[in-house]
Amino acid sequence: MAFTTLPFLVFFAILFVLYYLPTWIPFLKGKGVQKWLILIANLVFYAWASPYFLIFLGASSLLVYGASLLFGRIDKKTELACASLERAEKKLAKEKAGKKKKGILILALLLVLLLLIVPKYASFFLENLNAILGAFGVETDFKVSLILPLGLSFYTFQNIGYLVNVYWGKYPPQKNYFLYLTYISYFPHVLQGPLDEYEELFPALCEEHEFCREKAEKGLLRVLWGLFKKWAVATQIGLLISPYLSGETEALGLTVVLCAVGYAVQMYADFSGYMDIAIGCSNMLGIPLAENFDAPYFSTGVAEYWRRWHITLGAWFRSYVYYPLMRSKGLSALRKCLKKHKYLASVLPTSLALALVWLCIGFWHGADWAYVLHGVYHGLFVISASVLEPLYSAYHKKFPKLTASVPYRIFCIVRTFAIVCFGYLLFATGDISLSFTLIGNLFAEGGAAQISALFVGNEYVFFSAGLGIVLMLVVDVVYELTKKKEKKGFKSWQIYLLWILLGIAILLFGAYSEADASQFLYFQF
Amino acid sequence: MKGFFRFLLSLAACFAAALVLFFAAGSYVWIGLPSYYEHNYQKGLVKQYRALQKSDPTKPKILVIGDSSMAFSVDSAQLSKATGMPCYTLGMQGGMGKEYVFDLAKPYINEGDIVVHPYTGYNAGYFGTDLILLSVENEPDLYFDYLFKHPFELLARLKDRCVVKLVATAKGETEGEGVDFYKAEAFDETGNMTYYRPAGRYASSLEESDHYFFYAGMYSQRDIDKVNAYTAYCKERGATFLLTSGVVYRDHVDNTEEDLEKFEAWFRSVFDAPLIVDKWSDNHFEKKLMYDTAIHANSNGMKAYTQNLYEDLLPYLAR
Repeated sequence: MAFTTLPFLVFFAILFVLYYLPTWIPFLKGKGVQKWLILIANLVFYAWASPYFLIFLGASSLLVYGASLLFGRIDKKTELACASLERAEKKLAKEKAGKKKKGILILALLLVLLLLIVPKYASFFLENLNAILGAFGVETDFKVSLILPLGLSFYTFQNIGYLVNVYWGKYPPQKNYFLYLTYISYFPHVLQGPLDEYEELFPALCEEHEFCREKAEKGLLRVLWGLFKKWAVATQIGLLISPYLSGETEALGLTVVLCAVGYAVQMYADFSGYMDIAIGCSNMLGIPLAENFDAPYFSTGVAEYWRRWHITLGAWFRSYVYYPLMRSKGLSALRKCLKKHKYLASVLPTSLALALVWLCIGFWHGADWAYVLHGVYHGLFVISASVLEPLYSAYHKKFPKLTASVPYRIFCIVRTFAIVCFGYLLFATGDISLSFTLIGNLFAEGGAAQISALFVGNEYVFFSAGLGIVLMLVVDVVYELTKKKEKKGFKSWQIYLLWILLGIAILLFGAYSEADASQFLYFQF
Repeated sequence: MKGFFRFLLSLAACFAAALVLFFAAGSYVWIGLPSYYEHNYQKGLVKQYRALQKSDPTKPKILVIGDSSMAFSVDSAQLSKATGMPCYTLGMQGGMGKEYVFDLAKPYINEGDIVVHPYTGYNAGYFGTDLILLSVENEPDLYFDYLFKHPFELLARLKDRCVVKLVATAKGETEGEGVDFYKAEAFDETGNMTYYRPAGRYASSLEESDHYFFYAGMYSQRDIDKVNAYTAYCKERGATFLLTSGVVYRDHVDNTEEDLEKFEAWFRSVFDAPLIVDKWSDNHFEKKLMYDTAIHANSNGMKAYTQNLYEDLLPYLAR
């Protein structure tokens, strides 16, 4: 069930009313009915596309739940046993328990990842196998066609995060499977994130929430803003550039630039619009969700960009891949080996860990070399920033005034945006050969004529998207300039006025009747 | 709880305000600003409709409802002269939707009227809002009639048309000027296509146009149900509803005679209204009577089709 469809509107309206009912009925108040309502809503929401998807969600969460319970049991058993043991024996028992837990963790991780890898990458793997065998003269046609359950990548990562944290002893395992399922399948985040941490989201899910008008009003405002971004910007831009990105029409010169910039804006409007709807809906229910965007196109470097774009995914990779890799025996040994070369000892392990992280991020986005290359591309910038850090620092020290000036900052923002846009040429097509064709056409002639021809008959689309982009830019500039300052909240009448204005803007400029108006770009990942 | 209901009330009020303001702004642009589509082909329907509005309800008339095939092939003046009855046509383009044109005609069907609907191989949709909008622009009665009947259709389509009109108005442009027969000026005040269409002018376009194959089951059940309901409606109003075959370019009919007979038998079995042609292929014309597409007759074709229609109507005129 996509957020931009009529069934979701009906679903959420019903849930919104039912959700607060228990707080007004004396015998239901304080009985924790809301969390069960959320669970039912989650299952209806997720099963809407296909009940078959529930099997994956159920299997993955059950596996993690079971493994986390085993961790808890082992810890408890070890604790009890250790009470009557000598120090040396205690150490031995703990080591034994640790090994057992590690074995369970590895097995559970493998199984959970298998549930992700098989439907998502089997076809990609077989295609490449066919190509490799073909290169050796063995003609094969291995094929498999599996339906990829919605949100699989997202809830797999949430499951892994939870499992690893229980393994690390950060929090005790959840004993009630259905409560755990409520967290994993929470409808605003199950399909596209944000990847909320269990310790942050779960308490809010279990709490009873009285209706708060202020939260509901602001939540709805955010939903409307998300809808505006999706329909007036993302869908409209999609109408203009999708024929070029799908290879239906060949893009030349300036049109390639238009596609790259257009896709960057479309992706941001689409993904952050989805987040606004998700966070807004959740806020209306009194449950806060993690923010996933922090005006990313105002970043002054690629590494900063990734700290401000899809924030929770970056945080996930940092916590569960990058840091564990940095602490791993192999990289620790490498650091030790390079002890004499301080710079290398710091840079080499970091670069290796970053390279692996970015390769994983590339693969995570999709089963095509285009996505992998996109990950590698960004990884190279991040690694080079880390490698060249001493140079940058020296440069900043030498020219403090210049590097602190507004024009220099603007230059850095534009440079980062250009890097990101170019990267999207690798990513947007989802097909490596098409991506190379687009890049090859960057300097071809005929782009200007192509754009002026594109304008004819698409005046409305250009007008709507242009207006939407200006509005988004204004909002992001205001946010960027005031984010460190204390903000006064809107008054109710101001919110109502904004509701009306956004409502009119959506009705006037939204492409809500287009066929792909309900499709979000990140669904495919 | 009080806060919750206040929230819901505010939400409903703001939503209603947004909708009203949206429609007010859209309506102002569409019917308040100078016309951008006054020369458009779709304006021919308005001419036909206005003529129908002026018809005398006490005097039996012949009304032919159809699509562009009908607009290109029925000469209401010629039919009127032949039958001695006032004749009207209503229908401009299949893409505007059959139901829309049928609904427009409903209030003007009265006792003693003969309503004829020619069928071609074109399986029309129900409401083609984009094209209807071009027709109802700066026609407040037709615009509001459509707005109240199909607010959601209009909600989805009006906005982009308004932006196009605003941009064009700002540039001082008007659409439809200078084109050949696809313009309002191709029709006289009664909506009769008086633009002279000689044979052979669009020979290549005619040859490249669609081919048709008639088969049992080719019209949707919804279409059949609607037409049968319309037949019953006409009967209720004391009028007679008749079906006929529309003009099709003979070389572009891919059926054998045997196929057509089967199709005709099926046609007669599913529709309640009588089919007045002797043979379905009676109105399948040769090249010299056709114009730009396989369902558009030229001026001579129009005369020939109207004559055929008159002859087919004779048994009903005597009643």
